[in-house]
Amino acid sequence: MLVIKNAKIYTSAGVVYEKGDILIENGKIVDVGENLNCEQGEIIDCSGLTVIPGIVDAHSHIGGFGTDMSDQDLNEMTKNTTPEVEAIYSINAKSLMFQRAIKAGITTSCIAPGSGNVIGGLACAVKSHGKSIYDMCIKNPVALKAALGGNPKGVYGKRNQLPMTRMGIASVLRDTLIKGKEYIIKREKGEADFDAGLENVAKVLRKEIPLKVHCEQFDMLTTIRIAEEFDIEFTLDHAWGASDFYDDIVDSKNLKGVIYGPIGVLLLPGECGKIDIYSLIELDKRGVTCAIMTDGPICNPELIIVQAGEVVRFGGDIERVINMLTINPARIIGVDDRVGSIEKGKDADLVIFEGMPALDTNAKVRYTIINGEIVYVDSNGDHKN
Amino acid sequence: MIIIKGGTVHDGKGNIYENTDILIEDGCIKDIGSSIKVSNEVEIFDAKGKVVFPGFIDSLNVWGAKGPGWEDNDLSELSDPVTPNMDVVYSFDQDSMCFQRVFEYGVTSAGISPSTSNVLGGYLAVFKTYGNHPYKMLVKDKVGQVASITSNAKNVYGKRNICPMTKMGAIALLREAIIKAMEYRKNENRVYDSKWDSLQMVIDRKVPLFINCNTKSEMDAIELALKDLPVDIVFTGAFGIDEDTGNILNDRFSLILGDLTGHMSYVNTQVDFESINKLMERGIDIAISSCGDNVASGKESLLWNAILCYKNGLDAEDVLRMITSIPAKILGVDNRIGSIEKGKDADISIWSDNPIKTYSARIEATFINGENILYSRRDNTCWS
Repeated sequence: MLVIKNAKIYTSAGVVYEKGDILIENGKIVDVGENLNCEQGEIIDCSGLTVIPGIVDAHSHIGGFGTDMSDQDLNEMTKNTTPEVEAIYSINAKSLMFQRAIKAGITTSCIAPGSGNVIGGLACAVKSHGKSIYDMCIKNPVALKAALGGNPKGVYGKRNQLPMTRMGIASVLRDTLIKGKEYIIKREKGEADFDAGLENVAKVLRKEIPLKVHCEQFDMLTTIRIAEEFDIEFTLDHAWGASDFYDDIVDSKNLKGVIYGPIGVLLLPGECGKIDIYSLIELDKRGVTCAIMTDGPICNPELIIVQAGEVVRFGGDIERVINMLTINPARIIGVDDRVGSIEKGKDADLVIFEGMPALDTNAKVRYTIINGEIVYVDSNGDHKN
Repeated sequence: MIIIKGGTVHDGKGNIYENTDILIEDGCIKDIGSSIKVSNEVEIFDAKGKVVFPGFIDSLNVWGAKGPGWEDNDLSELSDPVTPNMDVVYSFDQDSMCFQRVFEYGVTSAGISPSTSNVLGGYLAVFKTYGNHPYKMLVKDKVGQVASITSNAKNVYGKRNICPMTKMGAIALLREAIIKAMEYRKNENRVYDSKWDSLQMVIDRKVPLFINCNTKSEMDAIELALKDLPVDIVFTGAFGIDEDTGNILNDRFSLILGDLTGHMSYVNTQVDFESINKLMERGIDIAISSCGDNVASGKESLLWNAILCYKNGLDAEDVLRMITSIPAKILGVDNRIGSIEKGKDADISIWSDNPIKTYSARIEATFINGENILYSRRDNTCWS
């Protein structure tokens, strides 16, 4: 039994305890509340400290890209759609990036193929700690990755291949979905040979997993339009420029959520022209599930909190912003039965901060706990009894 | 004339003055004090309860000079690893600069620098971050010569089977260039050579070499290679900083810490903040920048770097100096910018709280040359 005592607890389940306790056993949260009876077990006295659920990064590539992106195993850019590939096979579970994620309080990441292809492959959800990738993975697949805009254009256009344009990308995406629909019908009748790629496209068409779409600015409208045409679930990833399209996003059918970021980048005309993380405040108010990403290794993992701080700077309510780092991304990637909030029965993934994360700029992670195991302790932390 | 009334003024040199007025005339700070008397015609900016800082200075960046698209790179003259004769002023576009809107995060000036892909890359210059004419935005040209021995140069030229393919190759080119510039000076029958001619102000120590080094071994190599040559040194990037930095150079150097926010490159995790404190106590000038080998920094980046330095244990007022008066000194423009003092340019940012300490701090005004440009939007850009 591990006992967290006397902490300020943001549960991401609608409750904030000013002075609460959390009981942990067999890797799960057994109880959370005030003045819990907890005599035995290892106790962490968290007086003056703040506990939030382990941070969930809903869009990352850690363990699959080298630190400078030159060494990569997540863009199979041999053809413009590769729905048959799965990110889980490209992740180096021993990558030091996971250590850095743990240090920053990120306990679960959705690791997705890159954006070189219009359809990149399957994404999975993994914990930052474990013996192997199979041990770390909590759900696979969680989404089929797609990408619009400059990335696939830049890859295939240079080769004088489709897609060289945005309309080319839309055409490739629609073709794939139409083929997937045909495949489902023919396969049921026993008229089609097995096709590994179209099997995964069929998962999207059957709404088993969402299409996870890299898109910015007006490319978001392309995503919304095609998702509606094929009646599929989807997420808007990156979503720079969302403030231009509040109504479209709010009114769109089958949107699982907006996964925003990273910010702090050079502005360029076009798809990098408008970066508006404050749009999350309005989208959240209007009922859209919003999350913040690192796009690791593009951003250091600790920047997930810094970006959350920017939402606070623009007037975001702190509890809602903590949700954008925890329960919201967990819901969007479909792992909220296991992680994302501090509730009875959930995995004991917790981050203990000194200072208020996303408000105090010097808030520091003191402990990171995954599956009830303390996987990181700050060297200055001396709260353990 | 305008008066900023009653704010808590951080002068950028470590001092904090409560309830203090700043009088601005003709784009400069005319007076600072409590209850400055002014006529009714003077415009008042009420700063009661607000925090007033000098405009922030990003010591090194690419804003305005990279070119309009991802494919453009007007900062990398990669035809030759030794191009000291380049001057960044000719790559700077005022609209590209304004487009970044870095003044929304209090940044009013920046050192704009050629890329770190050449061993000698050319001269950097300091620009204001808002204006309608590049030369009017220019604070000072040729404030330093950019050099680099990081992997960037190796990656570009090594692949072509051209030196430098290695760090020792890069150092050899750097030393050779400096010595050739010295020989050129001595040679009475010299034929004009733009490279060696352009390095004269470096070997005259009128301006320093801004040498990009990421690791401790790169910094040590530079100390060893240049200790006997007549050049002043500013380490940039410099993530390998430790207590022993500067031992060989007898502390004859200053340092601009590179971007801590970007890629998970590992070099930027090596920073020893305790050593930064110790070196600053020893009187070494250390500034913060959002520069690096993978430059893609936005308007938030300089403040984020300041925040990470504060989070890692540096004093908030020291951190403020590292983005105001210290970069101004390193860049040789402290006669005009970097602090709130009489006679300086009226470059001032006003916040609801101290943004180095809390994310809840919102910017309320950014003055450049005495004008609050926070909400201005130039309407003659091709992008707006």
